[in-house]
Amino acid sequence: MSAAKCPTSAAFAALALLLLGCLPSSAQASEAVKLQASFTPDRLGASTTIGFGFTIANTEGGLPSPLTHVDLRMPPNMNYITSSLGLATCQPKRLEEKGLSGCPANSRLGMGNAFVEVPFGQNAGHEIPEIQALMGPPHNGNVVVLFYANGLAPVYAQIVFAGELVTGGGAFGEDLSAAIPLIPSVTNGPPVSIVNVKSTIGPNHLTYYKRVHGRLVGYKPKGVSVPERCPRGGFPFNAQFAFLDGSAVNATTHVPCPPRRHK
Amino acid sequence: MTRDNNSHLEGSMGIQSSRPSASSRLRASGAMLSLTALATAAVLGAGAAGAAGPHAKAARSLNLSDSANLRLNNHKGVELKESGTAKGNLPGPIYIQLRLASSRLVTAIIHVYPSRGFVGARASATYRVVTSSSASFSGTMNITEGSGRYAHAKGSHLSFSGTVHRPSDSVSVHVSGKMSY
Repeated sequence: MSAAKCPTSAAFAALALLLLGCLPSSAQASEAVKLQASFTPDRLGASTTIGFGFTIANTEGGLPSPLTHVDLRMPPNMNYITSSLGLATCQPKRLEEKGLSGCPANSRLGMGNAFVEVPFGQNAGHEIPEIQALMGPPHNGNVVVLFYANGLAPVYAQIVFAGELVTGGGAFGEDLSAAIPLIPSVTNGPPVSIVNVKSTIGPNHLTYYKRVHGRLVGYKPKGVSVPERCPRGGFPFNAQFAFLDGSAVNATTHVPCPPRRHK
Repeated sequence: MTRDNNSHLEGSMGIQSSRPSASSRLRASGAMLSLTALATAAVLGAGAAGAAGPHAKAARSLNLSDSANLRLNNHKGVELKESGTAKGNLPGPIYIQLRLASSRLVTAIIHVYPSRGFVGARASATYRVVTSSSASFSGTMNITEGSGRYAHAKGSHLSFSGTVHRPSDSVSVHVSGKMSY
């Protein structure tokens, strides 16, 4: 490097430091998120159940800020349309009023659970044992996934929120974008902090029904297919998390390429 | 018409030489052949322009407004292979390979086998979910190949639309626009 360029570099470095110091709080997240994803089965071209989960921790101790938004980006070449999941539509209002029984069995897409912590007490975690994913009415030509969280004491809440499957970009395919409502710890109390969520989208543990010769017959729906080719490093999943305190965190994980089958 | 041309040709030759040499006779025959061919082409051309007979060399065009209801033959990943029978101005067995890419894009390879020929095309469209059990797509199609009667098939930016029905993965398609062959 020539001597003449040194002052410029130094100026850039100073500017960079200055900019770093001026970054908004969104870049200084105190939350750390670990993203997990899986395919069951993990076999190229096979109908699969997509498992995804995340664990949120506060890097400075204490509770993480309540989660407000998640964008889950899935690998390319995975398409819901070619599956037979979500053949019926669940109306959000019916789901709010009647719970899971208000929606047709053929609208179920997957299930999971969550672990939350209330902002009082001794970091006692509480499980929301039931999260259901259901097919909602399409919006702007996009698939809508409804999530139904059924919390029991002390977080007694039945919450419905929607995620929209939108066009992804870059190295990713579809993007499930969901605004997460604040879950009150007690009536008019501060919101709980979500620390762990696990959910599936796929046929595992699902039974659909169809009429065959006038009789209702149960069957397992076909899930989204694992792409025929596995990119180097595995199938990429990425998620962006936004928190109530204005911070945002990006997390990435990969589902490993399945072992090659010997012919 | 042909006769008049020939007599005009003979008259000219007479001015140049009363006893034409062998080479000039050859030149004359060549010129005569050329003019005859030109005249024949003119006659045929006039006929084609006037009546568009079945042997016309000019490209013919067809206004397509064809549709087909297709059944799933094979489903692999995001690819659906479908077959059925096209109805409309280009009727015949039709095979479509649809690839539903994840970014709301569907691409298709289309093969139609009308009587005495084949037409191949490629299409791309964007799709939208209409209900939980159907997605519709709309885009454009370009004719890329042909054989037999449609060996010179051409057409671009034809309208290509349809619906994917779940869970059977049956597909209905509609193509409209002008093609030449």
